[in-house]
Amino acid sequence: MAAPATQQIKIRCNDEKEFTVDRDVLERSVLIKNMLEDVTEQQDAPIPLPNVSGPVMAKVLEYCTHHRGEPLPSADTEQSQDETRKRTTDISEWDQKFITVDQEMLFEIILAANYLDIKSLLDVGCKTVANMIKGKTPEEIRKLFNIVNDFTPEEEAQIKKENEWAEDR
Amino acid sequence: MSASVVDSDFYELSFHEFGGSLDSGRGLEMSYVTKIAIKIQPETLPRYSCINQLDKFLNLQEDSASCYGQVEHLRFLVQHTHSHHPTQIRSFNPDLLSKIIHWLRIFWRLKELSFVSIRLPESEIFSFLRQVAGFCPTITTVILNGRLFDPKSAVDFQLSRMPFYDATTSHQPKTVFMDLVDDVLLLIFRELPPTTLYSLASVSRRIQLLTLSSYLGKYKISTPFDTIDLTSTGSFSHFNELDALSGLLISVFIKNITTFTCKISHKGCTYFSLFHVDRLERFFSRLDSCKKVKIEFESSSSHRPHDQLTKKWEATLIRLLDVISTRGCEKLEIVGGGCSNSHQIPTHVQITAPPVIKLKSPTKLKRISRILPFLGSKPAESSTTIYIPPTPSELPLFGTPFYSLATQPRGPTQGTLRSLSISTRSGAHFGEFVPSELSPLLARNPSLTHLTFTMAGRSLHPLAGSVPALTHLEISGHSPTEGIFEFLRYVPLLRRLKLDPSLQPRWEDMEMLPRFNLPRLEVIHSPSFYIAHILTAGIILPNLRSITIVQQPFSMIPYLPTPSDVKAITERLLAYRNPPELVMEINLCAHTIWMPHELSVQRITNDVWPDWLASVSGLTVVVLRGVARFSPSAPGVILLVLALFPGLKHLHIFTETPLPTHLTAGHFHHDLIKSIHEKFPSLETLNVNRRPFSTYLTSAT
Repeated sequence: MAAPATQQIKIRCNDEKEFTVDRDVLERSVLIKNMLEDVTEQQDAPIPLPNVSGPVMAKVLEYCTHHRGEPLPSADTEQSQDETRKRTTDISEWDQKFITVDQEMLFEIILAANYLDIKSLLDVGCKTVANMIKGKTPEEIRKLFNIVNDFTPEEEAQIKKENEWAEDR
Repeated sequence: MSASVVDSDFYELSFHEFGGSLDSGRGLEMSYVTKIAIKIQPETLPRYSCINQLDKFLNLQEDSASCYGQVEHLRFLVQHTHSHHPTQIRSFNPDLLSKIIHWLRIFWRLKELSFVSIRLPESEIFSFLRQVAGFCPTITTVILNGRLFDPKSAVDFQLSRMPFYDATTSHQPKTVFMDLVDDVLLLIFRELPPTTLYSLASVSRRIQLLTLSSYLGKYKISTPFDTIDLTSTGSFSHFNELDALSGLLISVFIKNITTFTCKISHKGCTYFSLFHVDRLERFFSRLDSCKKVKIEFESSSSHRPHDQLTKKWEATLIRLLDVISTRGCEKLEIVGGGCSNSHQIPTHVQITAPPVIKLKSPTKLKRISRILPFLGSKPAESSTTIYIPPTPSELPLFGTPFYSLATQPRGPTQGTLRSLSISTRSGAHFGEFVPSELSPLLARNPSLTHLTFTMAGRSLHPLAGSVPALTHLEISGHSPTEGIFEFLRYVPLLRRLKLDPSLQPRWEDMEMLPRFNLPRLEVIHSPSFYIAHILTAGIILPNLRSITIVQQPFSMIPYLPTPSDVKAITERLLAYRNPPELVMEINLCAHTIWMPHELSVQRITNDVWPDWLASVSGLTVVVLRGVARFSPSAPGVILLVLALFPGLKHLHIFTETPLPTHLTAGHFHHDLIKSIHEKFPSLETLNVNRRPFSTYLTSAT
């Protein structure tokens, strides 16, 4: 059932923050789109999104609003998208500006995009993180993301040994 | 609740479905356990419920005969999934910690306590440690990457997987990289070049496993590792393109593979190739078994590596082959790379002396028949045996060669190779071997039956006697011929021999061949005088049934014997009691006229030809573009060939340009072609491009 484009939908985040958004903006999220399709009658009760906080949702909505009207990637294009993904790690200028946030927000946005099933946003997020990682040494990566080195000293020695050749260069 | 032994010897308890349905028998089981890993997935149950159930379980077990009395190592793993929100996780962990303090009194022998994936602010950890171990942080206390300080306690705390935040920043992010779920991390990794994936693999355990999954997707690696094909995304050519090999190297899962294929290229730097070979060796040494291996080397370097490097290369490569051959490998193929700029093959010390193996005494000779049972895949002996050939003086010239088994003092276990192929394209630097270096490998693989070898200017002499079970031998490239014939002397079971024409053995060399049962002999692109020698070989090879003469493809001058050759050949053939079948493979090349004018059909009929030509029973003709004047070429060639070789039984024609599906009356000699089988009743097989020629005609109208 096609709904009028101007329909307003209410959502509620896990911190009780509520948003009222145009349906077509919200439908960038496959999760919400499917939810709305399942509900035949208009409901006034907001859609609960227990995994997304208000500030993150605001960012996500900013993205969705900017990209409203763009065709959603269908199952057919997924394959070719997969191929093009390999070729380019380019992010459009607007997206780049949009995603220039601190690490915490970046990861929250990625998790939200994953949860809400917004492929293009997830893609932008992943590419951004990939660009942060690219060309770094293990130690630099650990420092960048506060990752704990949980290898035993023996394993570490082994890894170091495997690296010897590379370090010789 | 499920339990299984994970990783090392930790007894794993999973509490994700924990709900009071505990079996009391577990208590007895537990009484033997010294290492326990407790796995908690808090999101599957309301958090208090989960902790309380765990609490009940541990206390219940305590009642049943001090069952935790032996536990010395305790590991808590908290597994969060994405559906569990970080806020909930953060509130869960302090609750868990406070309970752990309570539980620890049960494990009264505990020596090591570790936490995995529990995130806490520093202040809480210190408070926890103070309570548990009376730990007091000092100004020298260092927290670096979760590696701990020295608590004043009998218990060695390992907070190894607990992320600590940089103490210099006051901001502690709530959501961190490691909060990203596996699916998302894999999406990120997919964007990364192999080098970075390699770096990532040594960051932490979880990431290591995930990067491996990335490799699995990136390269053709089927699970459970039947086939590993690393050639699909190109070859590993440079350090920067490392590397699925690294991924494999760190993989802990792969133990058995059926087929392994990879391509290694070196662009400009030999060290990279050495590096890859070294890696491959390490990878294979961790495997339990691998049946078939193919490794291809590609060279685009315009510089010839210096000799010292080449020597290092060969030693490295031999080590790899040694490892592969002791992993149950039966078929091993090494293809050396082509080189854009043709350079001389690096020269090596030519080995002219006979193998430095001496017989202890002639009485210790044992007949080949005693060796044969041994050639199967018998389990390796503690010491490796090699075959020692007798010196020529000890060997009757045309008798069965004798062999002796002698114990080799050192060396790895027996290999299982049955087929070894080492070939190089012209001008290649790599993938070649000095035979003396290959000798130990062959000696350790006595069941080897198929050997393909590119010689590149070295003598086969050192290999003589090391492959007693050989049945198929193919040698290409330049090699001193005496070495080959010395080698042939010790392969009494040889059934098929394919020799490169450039070897050009002399008649005297042929005389050296022992009288053995060689039924098939293949020669590539023989100069005419060589044919005569080959046929002579037939005299001393009385069981020869087939000689195949293969003209080298794309040679500018197609070879056909001249009448004088034929005369010599015919004479030789007369000496045969049962003349062998002669199969020729002729490649008709561009820019050449296939039939020299003096060999017209007219002259053939009354010259010396018929005797010999009638004895040719199989023929393969490859028609290349230049013979377009026989349009369509195949029918014309068929006619010509049949006129030349009236005794032909099998004729295979291959055309470079495809024939029309249907041949019509408009085509060359259509009627004649149609009645081919009437005119040449001896012809049994007539195929054009692997398709029976008759099918081209029956479908025509």
